[in-house]
Amino acid sequence: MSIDWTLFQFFNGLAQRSPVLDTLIRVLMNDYLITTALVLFLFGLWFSGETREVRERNQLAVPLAVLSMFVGNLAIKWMNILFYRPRPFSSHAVRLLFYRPSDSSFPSNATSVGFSLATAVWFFNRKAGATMYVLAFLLGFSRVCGGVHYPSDVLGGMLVGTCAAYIVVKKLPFLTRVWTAVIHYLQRWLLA
Amino acid sequence: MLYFVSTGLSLCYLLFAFLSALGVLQGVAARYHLGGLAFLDYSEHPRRGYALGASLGLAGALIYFVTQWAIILTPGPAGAELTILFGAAALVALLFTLILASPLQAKRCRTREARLPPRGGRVVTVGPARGRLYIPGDATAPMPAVCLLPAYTGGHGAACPNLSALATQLLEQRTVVLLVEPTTEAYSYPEALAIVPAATILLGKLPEVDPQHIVVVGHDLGGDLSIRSAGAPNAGQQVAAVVALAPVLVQAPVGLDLLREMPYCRALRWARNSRRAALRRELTALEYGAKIGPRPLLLVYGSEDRVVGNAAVESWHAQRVTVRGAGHLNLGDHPMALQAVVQWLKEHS
Repeated sequence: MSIDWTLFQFFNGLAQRSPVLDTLIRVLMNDYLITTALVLFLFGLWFSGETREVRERNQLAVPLAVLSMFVGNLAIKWMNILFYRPRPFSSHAVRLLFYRPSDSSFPSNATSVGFSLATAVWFFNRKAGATMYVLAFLLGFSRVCGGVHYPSDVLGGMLVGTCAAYIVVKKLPFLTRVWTAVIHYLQRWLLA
Repeated sequence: MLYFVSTGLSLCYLLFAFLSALGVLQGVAARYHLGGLAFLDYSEHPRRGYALGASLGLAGALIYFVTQWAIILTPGPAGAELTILFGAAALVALLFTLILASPLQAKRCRTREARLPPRGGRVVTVGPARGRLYIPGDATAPMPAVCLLPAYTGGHGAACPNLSALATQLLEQRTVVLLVEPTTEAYSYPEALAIVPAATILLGKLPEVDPQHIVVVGHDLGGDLSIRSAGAPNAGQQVAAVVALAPVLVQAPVGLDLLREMPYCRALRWARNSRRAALRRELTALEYGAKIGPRPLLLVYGSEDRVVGNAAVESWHAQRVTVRGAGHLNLGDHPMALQAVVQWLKEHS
């Protein structure tokens, strides 16, 4: 906990030093920019690929990534029922750059969303997955800087998101078969 | 439970997601040559597509973040609501793109067609088909002749390319040209099998034509027909050589790749045309290609062609040429393909 708090203090110390840096952190940590960018990545991935085989792999990543996100979300809802961790601003004086969320601090839901999407894509397309990991990391990191999460919350979100994607992609092969059939059907309508 | 907190915020997010999705579609259209999704012609200038895509995304982000900045940092729509808003925006963007890109691509195709008008010639009947016969004006000695079998348009109007450009070039090379009209009636099985024999008889009787130098050139299913006609045991013996431009041979699975070639609506008709599929199946050109030899056979493919499947033609006695940058439908009027065909015909007819 002390390492967590020390790291939090270090990264949160970046806030309220310069208006430019604060704006940058706010741009990264809000609920819209990076999450929309990640979903736009998935949207573009559906149409990407030089060959039919590559495109089919990319297209398989899209629904599985969305499903991973929902599984990660469910896991977090379940964890929140069992365990509630107050936000950093509830018990400490922090430099807050965001509104005061009322839900549990651990694990970070936004980070879980980012990492579930990135991990699912990583299994099918390393380049796209790596880019999405960078975006997802920025989302989690900026939330620590902005004072709404401890570093361990972000780490927890990473783990939940990654595990959700691993389970959906690697441990539930019937989903891959179902989505392959759906993609083949959509190909008949030239939508895949 | 969906609340959507603020109508203004939700509508602005919808606009942001719509413009960004439009931008992404323009980016992928430029990157993967998906003309059916492109607002502009990116074939030679993909950077235009990237620039337009980035501009749309940036415009959406600016509109959203500048107008809603104060509200963005307060509690907003939940994840489920954002998912619904984004899904709706992406769907509308895709529909909008398909609808807008279709007439734009059709217009680009018409512009290309307009550059290649077949001039002169007289209408003749070749079996079940009609054709246009072109004879060079200064004919003195018997000349080689070429029967051109264009791509099957599926009865939905002329496809962007036909073989008119090749006809023009061949006429300039002092070659008699018979350009067959690819109507649905003519390209039906088994009626279509009568086209090449009728054409060779017609051309062979012309005093301007050297009957030993009659060549058949086909594009798309016209290529399949030329291979089938020349490879059949009792037909096409007068055919001196065969050129097949992107013969279909094996039906590749359809999909987004067709949008590289044509607008969405035309592509959908193309993919779901049962006559077309039946004609390819009945022609079984894959079985006849090996029987054309020792007569010369030239197979021309475009490097960007994703319509034709991978056929095992290694055993064929054929010369293969791949034209860089050419697709399936534009192969018939691609300058490099025309140059290769004309040069090859000079050597083999």
